Amino acid sequence: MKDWKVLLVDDEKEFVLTLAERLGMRGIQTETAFDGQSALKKLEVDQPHVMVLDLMMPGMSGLTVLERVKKLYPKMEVILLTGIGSTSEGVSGMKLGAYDYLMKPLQIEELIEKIGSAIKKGSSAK
Amino acid sequence: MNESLFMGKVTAAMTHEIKNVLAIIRESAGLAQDLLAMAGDSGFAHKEKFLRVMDKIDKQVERGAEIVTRLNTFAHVPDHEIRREDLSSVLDEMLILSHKLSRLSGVNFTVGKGSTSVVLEADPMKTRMTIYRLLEFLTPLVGKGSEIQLKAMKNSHGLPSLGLIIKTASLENFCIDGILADPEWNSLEMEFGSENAAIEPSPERDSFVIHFV
Repeated sequence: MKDWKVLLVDDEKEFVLTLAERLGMRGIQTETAFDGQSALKKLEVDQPHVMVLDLMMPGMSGLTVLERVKKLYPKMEVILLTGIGSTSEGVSGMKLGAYDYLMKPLQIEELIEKIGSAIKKGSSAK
Repeated sequence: MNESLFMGKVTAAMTHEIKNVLAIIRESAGLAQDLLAMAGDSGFAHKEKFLRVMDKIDKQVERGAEIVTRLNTFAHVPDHEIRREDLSSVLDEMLILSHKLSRLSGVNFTVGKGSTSVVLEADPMKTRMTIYRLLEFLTPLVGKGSEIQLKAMKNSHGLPSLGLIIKTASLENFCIDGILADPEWNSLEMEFGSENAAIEPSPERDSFVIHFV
């Protein structure tokens, strides 16, 4: 887990910051962004192994961010976060290349497991 | 846009907000637990109690998430005038949405599991209204401590129907004929019978069957 780098993108700041702190306690390096534009800007500087991306954000939607990420950084794995009634959006996201999706509220163990398997998939594809 | 669609749209949007609130509560409680775990056994006298409280918070978050998910599904009901849906799933949804009614009345609602899938093609709002109104009507009549079991089934013509099996706490006091004579029962029949469903007591007279039309 020490080498894992994750970018968390969600407009719910309290959620993102608390989640980042918890992942950090587990030795996972995290970066945070609170909207799609700033997430894309952060990627220009450094690319994490995995992006955890909320689908429902003001401005650029999660699906739009996903499309751009997959175009610019095809090897980067993206895990989507969905609210409710939006399972179809999760499925649409997977069609656009997302690794998987999770429903809020999260179970942190499940998220870490998904991040781990996404990284494993990424490294075996290289 | 009609009133139901508007109500559903606003409710659905709010359910997303509530899910975010639940997510923050879970992460914050999780962080508190993490901090405690990091401190180890270094003298926090109320560690066990603290962990129990955290566990309670986590369970309530799960409960809240389940209710909100059902509420979101319900909020999208007016999006369709007619919808094909699995009747057992509708019953599971109604069980959660009528939980408060069940608690207030002291009548337990359950869903009986059928062996085959029953698909209903109908106005989804009216289906839910029929079920809820019927439960609302029956609860004071069957009395505290009783059970109303909802079961998706097919009638003799292979059409989807819904069984309401009543298990009263006191069988002697239960009279199905009393229900049939109730003026509100007649108005319920008027309300749903002609448009959406026909409601009738089973031949054994210990349950009701709603035949969807």
